[in-house]
Amino acid sequence: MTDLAIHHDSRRTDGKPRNQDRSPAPEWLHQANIALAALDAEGRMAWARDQLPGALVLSSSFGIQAAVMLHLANRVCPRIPVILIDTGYLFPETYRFIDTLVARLDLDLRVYRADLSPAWLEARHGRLWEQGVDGIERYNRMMKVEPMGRALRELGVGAWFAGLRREQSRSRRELPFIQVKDGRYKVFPILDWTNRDIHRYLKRHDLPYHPLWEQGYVSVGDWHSSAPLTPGMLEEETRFFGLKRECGLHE
Amino acid sequence: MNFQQPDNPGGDRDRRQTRKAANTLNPSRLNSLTSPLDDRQLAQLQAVLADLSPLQLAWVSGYLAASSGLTVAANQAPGTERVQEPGPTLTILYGSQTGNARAVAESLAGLARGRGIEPRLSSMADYRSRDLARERLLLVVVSTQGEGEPPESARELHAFLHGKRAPRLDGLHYGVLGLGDSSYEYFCQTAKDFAGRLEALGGKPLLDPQYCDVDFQKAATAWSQSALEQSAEFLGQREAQIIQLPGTRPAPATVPKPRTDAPLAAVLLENRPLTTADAVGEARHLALAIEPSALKYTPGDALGVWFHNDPALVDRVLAATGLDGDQAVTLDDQATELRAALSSRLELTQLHPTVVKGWASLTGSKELAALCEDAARLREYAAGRQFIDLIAEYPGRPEAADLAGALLPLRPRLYSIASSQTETPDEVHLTVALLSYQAGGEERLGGASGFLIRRLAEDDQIRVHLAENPTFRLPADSDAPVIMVAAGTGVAPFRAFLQQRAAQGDRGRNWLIFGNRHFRRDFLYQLDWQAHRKAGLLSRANVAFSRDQADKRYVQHRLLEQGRDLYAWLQEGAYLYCCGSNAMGRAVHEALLALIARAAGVDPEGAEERIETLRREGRYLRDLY
Amino acid sequence: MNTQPSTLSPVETIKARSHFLRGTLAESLTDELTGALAPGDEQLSKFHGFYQQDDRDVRADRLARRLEPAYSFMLRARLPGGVCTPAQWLAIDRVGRELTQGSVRLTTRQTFQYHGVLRGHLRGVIQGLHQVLLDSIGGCGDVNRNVMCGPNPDQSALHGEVYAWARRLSEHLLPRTRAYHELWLDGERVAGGEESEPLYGPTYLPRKFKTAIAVPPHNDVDVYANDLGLIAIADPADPDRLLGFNCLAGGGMGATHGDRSTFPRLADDLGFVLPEQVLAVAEAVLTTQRDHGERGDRSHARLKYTIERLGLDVFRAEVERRSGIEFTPPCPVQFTDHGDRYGWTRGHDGRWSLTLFIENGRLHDLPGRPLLSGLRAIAEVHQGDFRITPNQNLMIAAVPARQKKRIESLAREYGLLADGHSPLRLGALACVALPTCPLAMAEAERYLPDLLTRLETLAANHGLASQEIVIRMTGCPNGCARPYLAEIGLVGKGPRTYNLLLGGDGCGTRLNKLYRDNIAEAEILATLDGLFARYAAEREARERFGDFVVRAGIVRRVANAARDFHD
Repeated sequence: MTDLAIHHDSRRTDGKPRNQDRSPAPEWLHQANIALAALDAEGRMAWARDQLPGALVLSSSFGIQAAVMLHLANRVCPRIPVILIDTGYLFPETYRFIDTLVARLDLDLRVYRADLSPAWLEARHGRLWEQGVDGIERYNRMMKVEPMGRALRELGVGAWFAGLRREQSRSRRELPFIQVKDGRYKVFPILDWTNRDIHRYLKRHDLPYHPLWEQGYVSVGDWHSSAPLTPGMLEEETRFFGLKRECGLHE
Repeated sequence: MNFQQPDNPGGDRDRRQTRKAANTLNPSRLNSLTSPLDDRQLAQLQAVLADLSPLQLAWVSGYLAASSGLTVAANQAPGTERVQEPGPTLTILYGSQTGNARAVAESLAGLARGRGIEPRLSSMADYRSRDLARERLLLVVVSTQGEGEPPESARELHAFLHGKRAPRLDGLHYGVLGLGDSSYEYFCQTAKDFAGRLEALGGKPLLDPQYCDVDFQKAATAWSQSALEQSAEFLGQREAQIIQLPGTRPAPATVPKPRTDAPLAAVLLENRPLTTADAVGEARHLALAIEPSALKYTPGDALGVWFHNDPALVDRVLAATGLDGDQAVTLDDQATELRAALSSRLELTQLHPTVVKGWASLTGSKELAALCEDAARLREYAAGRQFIDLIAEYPGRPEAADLAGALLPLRPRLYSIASSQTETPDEVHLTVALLSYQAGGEERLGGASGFLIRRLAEDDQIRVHLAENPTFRLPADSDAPVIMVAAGTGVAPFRAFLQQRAAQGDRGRNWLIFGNRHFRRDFLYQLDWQAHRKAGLLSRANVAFSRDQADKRYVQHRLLEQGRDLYAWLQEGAYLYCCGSNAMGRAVHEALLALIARAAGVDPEGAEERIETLRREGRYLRDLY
Repeated sequence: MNTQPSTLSPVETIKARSHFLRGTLAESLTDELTGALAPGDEQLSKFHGFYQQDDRDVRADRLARRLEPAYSFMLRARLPGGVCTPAQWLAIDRVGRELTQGSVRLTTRQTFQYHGVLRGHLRGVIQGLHQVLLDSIGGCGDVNRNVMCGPNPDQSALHGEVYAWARRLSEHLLPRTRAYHELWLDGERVAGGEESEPLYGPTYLPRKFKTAIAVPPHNDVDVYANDLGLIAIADPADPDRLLGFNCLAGGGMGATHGDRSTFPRLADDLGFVLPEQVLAVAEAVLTTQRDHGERGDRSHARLKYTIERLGLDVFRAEVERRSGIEFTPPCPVQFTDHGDRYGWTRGHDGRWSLTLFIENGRLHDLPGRPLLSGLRAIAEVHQGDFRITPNQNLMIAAVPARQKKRIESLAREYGLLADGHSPLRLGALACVALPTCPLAMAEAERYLPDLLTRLETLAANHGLASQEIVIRMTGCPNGCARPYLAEIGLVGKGPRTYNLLLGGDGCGTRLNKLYRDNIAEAEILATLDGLFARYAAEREARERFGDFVVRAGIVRRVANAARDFHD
């Protein structure tokens, strides 16, 4: 078992572009998805660990069910770097939840932030998240996408795990287990998990939900754009006022 | 070099013909057709002879005869018709490789003249074999080469006597004096061959043959006296009155010391190894500075090196015998200190059977005496040891004079010259193999090679003399092809040959066939040969390294492989030279016989004849040791 | 579109006039005055697999003795993938003992070579190999060299398939001239008909051409160091099935000291091809280099400079045009290491393989450790095969379980087991260098074992005794032991001095970078002592030394070799 994060950080970040703008051979991607479909979550992670180039990381928003991916990933890839994009607008509960999990799971947390602090952002642009889809997108680009891009570059990431699940939204229903984005592989080990699977896993491993889960939140992002799930709402409508489901990082 | 006849060269084959002189010289019969003289010389001679009294004429005849060896030869045209004489004459034939036999024969002739017998003196090389049938009185002086071989100059006559065409010799009276070295198994074999064949063909011995060992002077003198007494009797003469005239030199009473030209000084310039440290045996290239006006050499010649024994060895001999080095001893009527005598006058490194015998009687050792009874064992004993080993094993406390008397005189050693004087006018190059072997649990070095290689420092001065080798010369014809076959340090003269041919711009092709043990370790002068080849001088080269493969390969094997081409070269007039040990010479000879038989489609005798023809034409030349 | 220089290198002329690699070799062999080949022929001999060398230790001494240099030949066989049978091994061993220095060298390109072959023994060696269907064609010279292929049979059934492609590639890229057979085997010149080299043409390639196939996750072949690299891509859905290959081009180690226009370089991705397309692509890469490679200056003649000159896109397009195959994007690959795993491993088919550590690839009979004899004893009972690894080690492969004990006890008896070696030593590589390599500027193989002993002490002093650090040493900058991929590279600069390079990543996918120029042992040890101390104190969990020196800024990361290697 080698430390992939440190050990294999060269191929995709150094050197001349090696087809970074290209997808891999379609045949391979097709076969890979067939292969991944047949594996369980840990198997998918191990496969990614063994087959994919560059540093392997996990991005986490430390949302409601984040403990699942953090726990899974650290079992298969101990001390896998965990990227957190801190917008500065996370719930205080989230920050405390992060501290708890870092200590409990011995996480290698790598926190990335935008150049602008929240106060400066608001002073310059006002409350972007209240300015419709364009505003939300602008907000996401500045506060989430840019820092994430920087994290991926700096860590020499070749592949990253994300905890997206098909059940979470319509836009995720057609997701493959592995896809290529900007020359990096994104792997979704628990793509086919249901909320029930999540619940069972957390219970089996005695892992906590995000504290806000108790208050009815099913998706926790920035405090200004998340709301508890109330009867009649689809799960995805709990974020971004129903205007957007995706936080911007997985679009 | 290791001659069974350890003498010094003097040019046996300088086409010298001793002619019957004054007692047959009738001025009235002189003409330019029957004499070697031209008309002008004849006129001068006749003018001188015209007013001589008979006594004066007799003296002049003796004088001319005695000096003829030195003066007549050069102008003697070959094939000159001999003046036929009635009545028996004494013929003295010598076969000499390096000069001792010739010196003995010349001395014998001088003694004869002193008795009033005018002998006919000739090298066997110049003697027509078929004349043998007409001889009535013949004295033969012949040396023997290493393994019982006749010297080069004696080969043809030796072969003739052993061949089918040998005539009956019923009317012949003969005597044979052999020179040899009892440390070889086939001691004086050639002399024994001559004696045996002459008798077998019907000849009658005048006296018993005498086979002399390395210390031959005394025995040779005694035999000479007695042979001449018998000869005189045979010739029906009384013991001659010696006509001693004022101003003449007396005939020598004894056989002279071996001839060594007066030594010259040389200075060591360079002592360079030619073999690698892991080679079997060490060979070195020595460059000596000489005075070119005093030493003029020709490729093929050898250099005599006057060496000193190792001072440490001298000390050990002194210690072992309990003698004082400052003691005086007399050598050749000269008083000298024992230490000096042991250092530069007496042989310590070549243990000779006669020395063992002498030591046996000095010490009275019964064991040693028993050893001396068995010639083969004695030879074997002496071959692997030096004097120090003998006296360590059989200690004795002789008197200084006895020690000096028991030891043989130290003789200079001969080394073929490896350079051409046209290339290096004031240098002589030698190729010296270090003789080294184990005895008594210690390393023993050869006397001269140890001296030259181990003890001599650069800029040290040594004494040398030129030992001419007129039987081993490059062809006079610069276009003639040359084939050179050599093993080990035998390649030395060929380095000189190629330098000479290069300097002269000779256009003849050159072919070197060289053998040694390991290509990597002892390919002597490899870079020189490569340079000659690159320059176009060496047109062909073959090598045989005996230990580079499981089955030993030697030059003779290469010769056989190259038989067709080699024969073609010979047909085109090539000269074939062979230099190396006697054993190698024999093997090469056998290979030549085989390849000629095969290439020419003749039987072995036919091949032998062809080789003899080559030899007669001076195109098969050997320098073996 | 090709810009040939006005002056061709002399070697080009020799090739052009050689009549398909014959030259005057036949005549050279009969020159008895020398153990060397005629000038020119010694260039052609490389194509036949052997290299003229001389013992440089004794050169001056021999010259003084009027002896030519101690010429001998290094003969390198062709052994695709490093695989040979026990019967072949016995022949390799016999030839080595009888006709060479008595040793067999395993090379960094998975073949074996003999040193100290005398000219007169060349035929015997080649014929001895021929008897067991081995040859030395293209062992050296400006042609495709021995094709490498990850030797780990325990990988999967995939390995067998990949090895078959390595063999096919080797055969496909073989010169077609009959010169080798004429000169060394039957000696018969085929009558009539002009020969031709459909692939190479009469002047062959501008320079050597190296091909390797890696089977991830092991990069033991150092695939990025090859002119043509192929990475086997397993079907993600069926790991035993070969999906195709990622093709790489333009890797190479060689550089020239002091010439900043030369540099080691990692190969670029060309793209993915299906197995059945790989021969056509290999041929297209090779012929593009044949037609566009530099033929004036041999130090800029490798494919890497051609690609730098043409640009990768132009080069890729040309390869696509010539092969008629369009690359699809490369598949992801992940390498974990470029060393060997020692000891027993169990294969997918239940058979076992034993990897033996062979220091510097030298197999000879040492006192108490008769390695060659031991392998001979094993070959006499072994039923699987032998595989030479790219790290100069030897694998006794495909051993049935019931024979395992027997093989192991033989290996132990003859001192072939690598017990007790440090990870530093087990991961180290050195080239042959002095005294025989004509290019060497400093010692390598004869010296590295001693230096490693000192480095082991250093590492232990800093609590790093069990840390794996890839150390590679070469006697010159040409890079036979692939020093530019090592975590610690030592490249000979002069007698007893080396350039110290740092920062390889332990799996052969990142070049290292010059840290100290021209330093001798004392300074090497002092420098590494300091770095080891820092590494021990500051390293992150499981961080390798090569990664640490890059992260800590001790050396800069080499991203673009042409641009970064020398800065």
